[in-house]
Amino acid sequence: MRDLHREYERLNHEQKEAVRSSGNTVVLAGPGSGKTETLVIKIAHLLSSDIRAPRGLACLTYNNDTVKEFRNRLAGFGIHPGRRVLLGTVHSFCLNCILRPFGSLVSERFSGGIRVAAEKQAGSLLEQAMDQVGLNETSSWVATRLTRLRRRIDCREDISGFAETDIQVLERYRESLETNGLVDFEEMVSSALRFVREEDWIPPLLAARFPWLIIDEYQDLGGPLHSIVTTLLEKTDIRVFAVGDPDQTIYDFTGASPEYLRALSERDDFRSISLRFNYRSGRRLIAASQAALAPSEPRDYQPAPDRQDEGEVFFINANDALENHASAITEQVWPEIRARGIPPEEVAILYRQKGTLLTLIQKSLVEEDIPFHAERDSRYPRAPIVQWLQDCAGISFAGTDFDDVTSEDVMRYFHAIAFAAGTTEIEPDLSLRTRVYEAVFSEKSPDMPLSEWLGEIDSTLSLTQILSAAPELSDDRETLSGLIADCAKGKPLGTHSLQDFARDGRVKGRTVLTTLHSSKGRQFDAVVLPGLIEGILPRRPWNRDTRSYGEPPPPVLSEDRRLFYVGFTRARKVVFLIFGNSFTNDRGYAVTLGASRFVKEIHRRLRSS
Amino acid sequence: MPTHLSRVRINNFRNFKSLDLPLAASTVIVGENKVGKTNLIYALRLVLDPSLAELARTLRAEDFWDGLKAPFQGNVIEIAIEISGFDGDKAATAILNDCLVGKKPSLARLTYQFRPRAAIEPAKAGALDYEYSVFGGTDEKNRVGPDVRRWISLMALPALRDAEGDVQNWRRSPLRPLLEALQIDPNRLEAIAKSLTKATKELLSEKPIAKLADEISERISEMVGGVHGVEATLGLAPTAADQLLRSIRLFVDGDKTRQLSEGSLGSANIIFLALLMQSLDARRSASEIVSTVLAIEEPEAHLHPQVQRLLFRYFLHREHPVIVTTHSPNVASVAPVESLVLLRKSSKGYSVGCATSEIAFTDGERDDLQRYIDVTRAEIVFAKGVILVEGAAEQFLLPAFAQCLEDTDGKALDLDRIGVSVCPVFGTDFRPYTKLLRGLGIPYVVITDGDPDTKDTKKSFAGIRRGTRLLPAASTRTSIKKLTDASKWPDARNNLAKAGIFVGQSTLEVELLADFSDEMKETYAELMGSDKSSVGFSKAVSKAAGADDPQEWSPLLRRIERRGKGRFAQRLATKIQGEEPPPYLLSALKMIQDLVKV
Repeated sequence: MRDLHREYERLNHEQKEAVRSSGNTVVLAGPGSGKTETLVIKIAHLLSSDIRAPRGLACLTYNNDTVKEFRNRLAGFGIHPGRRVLLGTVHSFCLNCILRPFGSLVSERFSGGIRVAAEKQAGSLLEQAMDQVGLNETSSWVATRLTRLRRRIDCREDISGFAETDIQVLERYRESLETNGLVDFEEMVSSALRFVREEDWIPPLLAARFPWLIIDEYQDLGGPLHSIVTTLLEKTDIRVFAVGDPDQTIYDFTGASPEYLRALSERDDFRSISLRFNYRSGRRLIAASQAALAPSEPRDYQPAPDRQDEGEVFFINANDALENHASAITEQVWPEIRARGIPPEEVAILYRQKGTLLTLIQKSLVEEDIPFHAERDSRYPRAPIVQWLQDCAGISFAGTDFDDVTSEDVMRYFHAIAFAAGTTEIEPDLSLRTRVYEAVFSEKSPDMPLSEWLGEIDSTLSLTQILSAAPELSDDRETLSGLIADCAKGKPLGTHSLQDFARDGRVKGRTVLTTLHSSKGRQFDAVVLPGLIEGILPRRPWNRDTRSYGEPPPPVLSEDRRLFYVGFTRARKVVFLIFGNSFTNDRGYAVTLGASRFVKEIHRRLRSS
Repeated sequence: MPTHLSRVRINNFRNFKSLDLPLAASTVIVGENKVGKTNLIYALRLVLDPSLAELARTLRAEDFWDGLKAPFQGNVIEIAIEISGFDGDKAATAILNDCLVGKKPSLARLTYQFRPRAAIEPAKAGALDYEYSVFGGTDEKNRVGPDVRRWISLMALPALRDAEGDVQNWRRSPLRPLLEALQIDPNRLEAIAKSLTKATKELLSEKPIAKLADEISERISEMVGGVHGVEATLGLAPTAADQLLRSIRLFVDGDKTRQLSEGSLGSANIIFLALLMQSLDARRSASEIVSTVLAIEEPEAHLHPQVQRLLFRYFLHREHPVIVTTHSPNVASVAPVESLVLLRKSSKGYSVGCATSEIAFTDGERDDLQRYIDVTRAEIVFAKGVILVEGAAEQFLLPAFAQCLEDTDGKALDLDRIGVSVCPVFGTDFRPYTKLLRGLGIPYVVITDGDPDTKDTKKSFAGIRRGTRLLPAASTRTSIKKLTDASKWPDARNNLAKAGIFVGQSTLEVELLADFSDEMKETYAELMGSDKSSVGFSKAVSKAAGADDPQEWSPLLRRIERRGKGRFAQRLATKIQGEEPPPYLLSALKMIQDLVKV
């Protein structure tokens, strides 16, 4: 077990301040600032000092990957999530700590328990609502827009920019959820907000159980959670420890905004602590990233005091064709990476979105025989069942050394779904344990084809059958059958091995090819940013009247700037900026707006220093 | 009110087919032997007792209610408890937060289930297919584990436990957590240990003692030889610093000469309970526990009645949830009136229960009953049936009259033997008592005087009006206003009698004149011992006999009252034993005899 005192002593001054801070605190944590470690030590410290059992705390994180990361790190201090320590995403917190316990006491609607709409079901309800209103668009696009609208409504923010039809569709959709006794993913948070706001007896109950709320990545959690937090602050003596970085807000399209974290840090009852040190990147990279972020607002991030290497930034001019961006990677970037001895899996090529550029890059990587993992193409679905299967896969070739997964972890999840499906008993009995053990712990080769292994585990544990037994598992069933289908010969995952799957594709020897958004929270020795052209990053709006591209509106520019910043700051040692003067857009027109202003700003900054 | 159990529901467990009992912060459970008092406590332990072994929570065939066709086979044993009074207690709220079934005030429920595992044919499930679970709230999937019991628990003290052994045994002693919680400087302890060692050494090196030690060793080695190596040395208590606290003993006298084992069993019990309360309080203030319900079974063992009353007056009126099962009127008599639970066997063989906590008493009624139960040693609660009467006169006379009836063995009816108590309410306000008895499900009859009165030349009976007000449902009542109409009187009386309320024509003593005037004169003469007053009494008797006007009765009543109605009745009772009383008394006696016959 890790020694809390010793680990605490290793923190820097600001990190220690954050751990010791006894009231509401916002920690502004730039890239590489050691925020996760600070958070974990904060939690361990709170549980051993301020918070007396049986009271506890809730730790909310951005997604299931980060939940896993926290679970492992907390286990190092002997802390295991459970009744006293809730660890989960915002949605699981809202569902399990607010809706489920109190739902039946709040409204008839929830008297039979909380039923979560399967993705498919929610999709078809949305399409129905669109039909009724006569909105004819791709439903996934509408869904994203409605999420933003919904969050604005829930947070009582201005919705004047939204079309009347959108508002009508949303109303109908929400009505049909209600009449079907369902909540969808977003509704978990909206309903939780409503409970907390309108039922005066609920906030004290929450504050009694969780005198502290610890929230990670606050900037990307959106308005409804922010409203839950401020409502709890107003009505109870709950204390909040929120960590985040407004500069790294990248989910604007779902309604996230850097303003929420700023608003929290500016409250009188909050103390704000900035973590100054960046332990990830070299001095030059840190300086450059700040130039990219906001030339007028220096962030004053410092490299770790004992950091020797400066870090490097390469400017590569790909001139006028997107093809050149792709070939620059193989011809110019790759020799530099080899020369530095950087292993391929420590290189990330980050792009904005699918399209010509991505296709070209993939093609030239294949031609030059550079092994890569295109995450967004072949990415495994993000779902608890997949995470669990990945753990099982890892154990089956690496034993429990794999990612610190314990056999109890494996058992717990399987038992949970079996129990939900009503196919098993209250406590897992011996035969169930034996079955799971045999299925998961029989040693496999890391190179076993994924399709074969999935087939095996599905049949020994009757997974599909179990998942078909309960409606709330239908999303998991869909995910599993989708995964199995994708593993068939000729399908995107057809060549994947057990090891690819267990390591989520991050296999030794393969370069990571992924989106800027998906790079959030990760780090690599080298980061390659192709396509840095005005019109791609930042986006430029087409003006029909003048038949020209205008300046990006400030919110768009700021969002893109943050996205670029996030990509740039993933690098420990080297960043390759591939820019160009013009490109041919997807409709075949040449767009010539010059190199991305972000590149120019960095260039200027580095030259001047 | 503190965090406490406010309801328990039991299905298919031992004596209980389906029991649903409201409970109060302090609950006193009374009931005959074998009615399931211990089983009720055990049911609570299944949900809440952290010291109950894991294996014990898996029940066995004999734990199913007897009335089932067969144990197992799909039958489910369920014990649900509700907890309330924890709003404002943040630690308790933290624990019970996701077990709520009610809001404002919060109400939490924990349910223990012993049921077959999911199976296609549960009716075929046998012992091996059964398992238990405890869940919170209404969702069976919301399972709660030992973590809840660790904080909110029930501690059961079984009847006739070995209090002395418990206090002496370091592991079980309630003294242990108290001593262990003390913060004593280890250096101080070390120093004390040293001086003790020194003193011990000095004592043991006294020649005679040293000699004795050698002799014992020699004897042992003679007996079994040196190989088996029984090493015997003499010493005092261990003197190592860390053992020091363990050697602290309790003495039961000021001179520290008499150990607990030399005291009485009673004092061991008192000391045990005192230590226990002390340690529970200490652990609660140290946040080691959130709430512990104490369940004390039949604590009256070995305790003097006075001590029982003092001890439980203390226990039952402090801010600490406690459940007591008892046979002792002394314990029941000091229980808060709303804390009583009565268990009894139903005609169908399973036990049912009634609780006073849900009876809507006014504050005045509650105070009256509280004092009454205290003074009468809770007799009313322990009775199988009750005859409520106005005063001492009826209390003396009714058992004597009862002997004119026959019991099931053909012997003269003895009210005591059939468990019927005659309870005087000392006045005419029967209402709190009937409420209590109805609430507890104890059968009762009421006997009250007719008390005719005349207002504006209209005659009516205060007794009938009084009785009418006692009827539980307004629909069955004759309008009080109509009771001045003589033609309504017989009907009103009949209706009341059907409901167990028996109203006389006049006043008890006057009613008796018809058949027992001689016995009354005799009684009066015996009590006065003077001829002159006997003559006066005879005159009063003649005046009252057959008279309709209450004015005519008053000389008689005044004379009897001067001697004391009770005393008069007490003496009269010896003369009328086994005689048939006036009809309304006879009907009352017959009815109660019927009601208690199960």
